[in-house]
Amino acid sequence: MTDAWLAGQRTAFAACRDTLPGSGTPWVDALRAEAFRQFEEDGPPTARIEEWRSGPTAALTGQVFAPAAPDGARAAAVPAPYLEGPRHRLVFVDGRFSRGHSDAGEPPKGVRLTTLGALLAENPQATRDLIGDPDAFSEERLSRVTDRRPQALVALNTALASDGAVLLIEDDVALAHPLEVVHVTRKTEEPRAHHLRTLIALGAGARAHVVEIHAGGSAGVWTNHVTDIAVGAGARLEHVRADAGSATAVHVNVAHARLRASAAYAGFVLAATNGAVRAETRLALEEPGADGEVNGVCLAKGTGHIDALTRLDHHAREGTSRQLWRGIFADTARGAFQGRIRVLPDASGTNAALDNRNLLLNAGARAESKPELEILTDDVACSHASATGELDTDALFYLRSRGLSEQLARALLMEAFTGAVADRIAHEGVREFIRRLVDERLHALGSATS
Amino acid sequence: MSEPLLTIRNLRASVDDKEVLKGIDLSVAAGEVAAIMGPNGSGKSTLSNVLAGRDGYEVTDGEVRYDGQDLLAMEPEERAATGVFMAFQYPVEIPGVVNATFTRTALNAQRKARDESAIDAIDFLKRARATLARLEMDEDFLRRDVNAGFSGGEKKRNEIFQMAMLEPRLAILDETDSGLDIDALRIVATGVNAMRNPERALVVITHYQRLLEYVVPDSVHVLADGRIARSGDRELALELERTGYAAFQPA
Repeated sequence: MTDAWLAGQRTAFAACRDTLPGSGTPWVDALRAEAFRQFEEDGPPTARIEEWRSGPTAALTGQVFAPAAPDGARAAAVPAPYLEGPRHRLVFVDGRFSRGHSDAGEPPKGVRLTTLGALLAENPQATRDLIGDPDAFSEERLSRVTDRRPQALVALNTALASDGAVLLIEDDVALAHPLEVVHVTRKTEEPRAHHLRTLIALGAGARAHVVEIHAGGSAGVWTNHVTDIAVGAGARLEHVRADAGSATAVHVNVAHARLRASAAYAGFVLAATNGAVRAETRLALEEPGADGEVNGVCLAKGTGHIDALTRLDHHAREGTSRQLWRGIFADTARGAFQGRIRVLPDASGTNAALDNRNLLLNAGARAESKPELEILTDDVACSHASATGELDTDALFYLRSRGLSEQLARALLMEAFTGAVADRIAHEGVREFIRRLVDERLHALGSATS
Repeated sequence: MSEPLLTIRNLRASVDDKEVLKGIDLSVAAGEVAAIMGPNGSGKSTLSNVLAGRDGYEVTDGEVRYDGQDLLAMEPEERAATGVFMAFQYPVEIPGVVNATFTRTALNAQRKARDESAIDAIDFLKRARATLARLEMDEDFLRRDVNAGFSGGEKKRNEIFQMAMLEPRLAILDETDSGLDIDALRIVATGVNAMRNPERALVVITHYQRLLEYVVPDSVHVLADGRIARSGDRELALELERTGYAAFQPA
């Protein structure tokens, strides 16, 4: 299948390269060609690659997904805004910006809110600085993190990215209202892939809250979404990624963030699926005093498969990081969490913590937890905890003895299990939205079982 | 006297194939406070667990009638909705579930099962505050997670708080006095006494007599080796205090 899959990607790239944003601009064409070459060299992810050992490789390479062609009609059921209150909203349908569904509002001075397609059309050079250098192509440039292991899907994304949100904020400017980015995919007869690229760059002292929502796909849709993030000195970004639909598709979501001195990145991932989700978060705390937080809730049922991976690299001294992950798996769903904290030789005074717990609701469900600490210096405080178990039967009985039905008791315990993670979201409106979404998904999970 | 609220007839139950309850007969009328006393291993906790409906206890014979219904046929939540409350010896800690949310959810789940309307947050809070004040408990209890990090005494008082909020018709207090200092015991006893009324029956399961100095029982039953070995009035409890359980231990 791998050969056919690779051949399918070659055909797709040949067919659509001339229609992609920036096509005709020499550096963009060269970058895409080089990225595709890199993808071919790395090959599709397989379980032989350590980072993909628990990944949804079969779901991904089991069918050949062709990139969706630009479609003028664009009739799609786009959900109403998720966030209550003032917000900026960008909507993408099948991987391309939909102006009619969007409501960018009026961002303050010093904030550029646009799309990859628009930016490439209007100022290819500015984009070049953000994306990478075609003359000295490397995977490092491409993803803008110092992470050199094969990431074929990031390379493929660079070759085939059809569009994405772009948020650029100048020094000391705060985006007061959250940015809501919604990705909608339509039902499809044949397998389709959507390659999305989000760029977020915060200048020194800037502030923003960004919520990226996948409104759900259908069987046969693969989304390959990469978000490149740069957080300037003393800046703070809250970045929430969520599946809000009943995704039965394959969803690969990768965020790369570079943090300058005393910068803060606070990430939250909600993966809820009966399909396959791969969620990666890679942070490079490059300068002293940076703070990284990556939390997540993973909920899978049916034959769902969630593979969450984090890589937090502490490059410089006095960095802090926290990771809090909770997974609940029902039916025959599978979950895997690989979390790595790497403390490099110059990163003395690092304080890093990782905590992953999973609940299995049925005998057929499975969860793996693999925390990794790689510490190359002294004078650090690192901790990790992981546990996998079932709902506490004593607690269930206690709740039922007070009159709660078994279903309600289970729901309450599952809410308690995941609630602490959602509570860490700083923006109140975003936090309320995520709590609602998690509760909704827990109900779906509860009704799927027992 | 009309039909007792609770009637236990020839109740036999096993744990892990070992018979622990060997034919219990007991009835408790509405308005009555019955004390069940017994040495360790006599079957006190098995009896309370069987009455509450915990898994892992096999009833092999006999029956339990509550208010004309077959109690043992009911799920734990059905027992609660029909007015049975168990104050546990070891209340469970549930981190992440706030006490107020839990108590209101329980109250409204019971009311819903009885086709009564839900209590809104404001009315609930009003009642909860009054109840807390009566039990000399800080309002902070409402905001804390259920029993999480509570001292032994706080857990027991939280059980009494829940009982007061849920207003059961039959309350079973399982070793509620264990682990309490004298002040906590007095507060708990005050809470229990406030529950006494002609419509309600209380079953107080205890090893020691001291709670019964504050909560004066109408009847006292000695449980020994899985059977009610002797029944009497308050005097029996005082006698046990003097003589101990030696007379009831297997030779």
